[in-house]
Amino acid sequence: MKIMKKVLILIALAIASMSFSLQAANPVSDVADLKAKMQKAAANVTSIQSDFTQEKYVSAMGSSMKSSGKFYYQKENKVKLEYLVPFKQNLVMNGNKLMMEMNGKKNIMDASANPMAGELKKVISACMSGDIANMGDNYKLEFFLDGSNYLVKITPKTADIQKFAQQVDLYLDAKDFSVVKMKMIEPIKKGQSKNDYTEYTFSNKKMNEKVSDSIFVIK
Amino acid sequence: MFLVAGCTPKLFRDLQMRPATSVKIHRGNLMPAFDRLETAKYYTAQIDFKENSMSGILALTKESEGQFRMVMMTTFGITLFDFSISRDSFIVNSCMEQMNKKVVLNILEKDFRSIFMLNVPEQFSARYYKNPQKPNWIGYGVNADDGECDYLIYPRETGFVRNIQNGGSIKRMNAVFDEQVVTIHHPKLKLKLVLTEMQQ
Repeated sequence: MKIMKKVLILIALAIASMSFSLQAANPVSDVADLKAKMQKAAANVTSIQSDFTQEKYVSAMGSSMKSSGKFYYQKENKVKLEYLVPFKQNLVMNGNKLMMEMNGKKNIMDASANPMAGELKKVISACMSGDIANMGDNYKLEFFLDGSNYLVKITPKTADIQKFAQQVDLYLDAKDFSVVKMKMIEPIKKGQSKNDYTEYTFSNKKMNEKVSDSIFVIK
Repeated sequence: MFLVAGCTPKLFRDLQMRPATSVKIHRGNLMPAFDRLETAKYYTAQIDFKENSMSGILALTKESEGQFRMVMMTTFGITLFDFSISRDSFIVNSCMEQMNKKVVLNILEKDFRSIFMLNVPEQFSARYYKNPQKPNWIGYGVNADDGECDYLIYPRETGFVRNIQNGGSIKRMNAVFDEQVVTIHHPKLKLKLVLTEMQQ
């Protein structure tokens, strides 16, 4: 019986140490090499289609709201989030334009006339497509190996962007550098002890299959 | 006859209600929208301002008795505003720069005070309106902290607030509460907010 107990304890310790090693993110030693690989992988991507789930955690509510739908990306600069659950809504980014559509009503923004919207569009678009090489100097990038994923911690350097996103955690599949998860963390608000965040998880990815241009039309 | 009709707020006039008497009301006997929130609720929010439309999500919770918190965000997660409101305070926890203007915040504060009925004390006097042909509908005209405010109640036993009108001509607000849809309308400002409860 005592031996059985010891065996169980050893198994528990082994599982605990395994899960610890899976959770621990180690800094990448050769960042230049990783960046070059990421850039090469991004250059080979012409389109992405996938399912996505979105979890918005609101600290003040003590709960999160979940939604899901279809994600589309097409080079250059075309992104669509088609929300299907719990209600239908579209977010389309095409070139300098950004459109939100709900209940047949559209709100179109010109990102070139609104620098903040433009910057946000750039971050979201770059992160969701995994093409982060051209994000510019306004962001500090740190690279980690986190289990079977690379984790890129993206920290905005400018106060304007920090108001919306304190940090973006981007998880890329270590095999093909496709985006697995993106977590956008907001600054802590007055009276709160936890950060609000929005987390996107991408699954059932289809790379480089034809995506109709018509789904990105903004008018 | 004309004088009486002229003094009757439009909200009650449309239902051919007439002023009956002045009454003392205990706020607890009325049921404004959101008053019995037990957990956080989420609403899709459609905002129309003149020719522009915008959509997002409004999260609402009751932090404590008489204190509410509301967070409005875009569908893809950016917080537009985060307010805490009670009878004594209106706290802006965060607000995007474009909205963080006194005139906008004043309108929102007044709207939400009226909607949560935080503009009256626990006990208050009101002018009572009724139409004998529609005994289940009653109206209360209230001199609230921030001005005149009219509440339409249906059915009278539940005290459920169905419709609110407040404010002067420019800032006049009309709020309508259906089962899962709340419409807040400022006709003169051409501003309309429609909240639809999300089933999670």
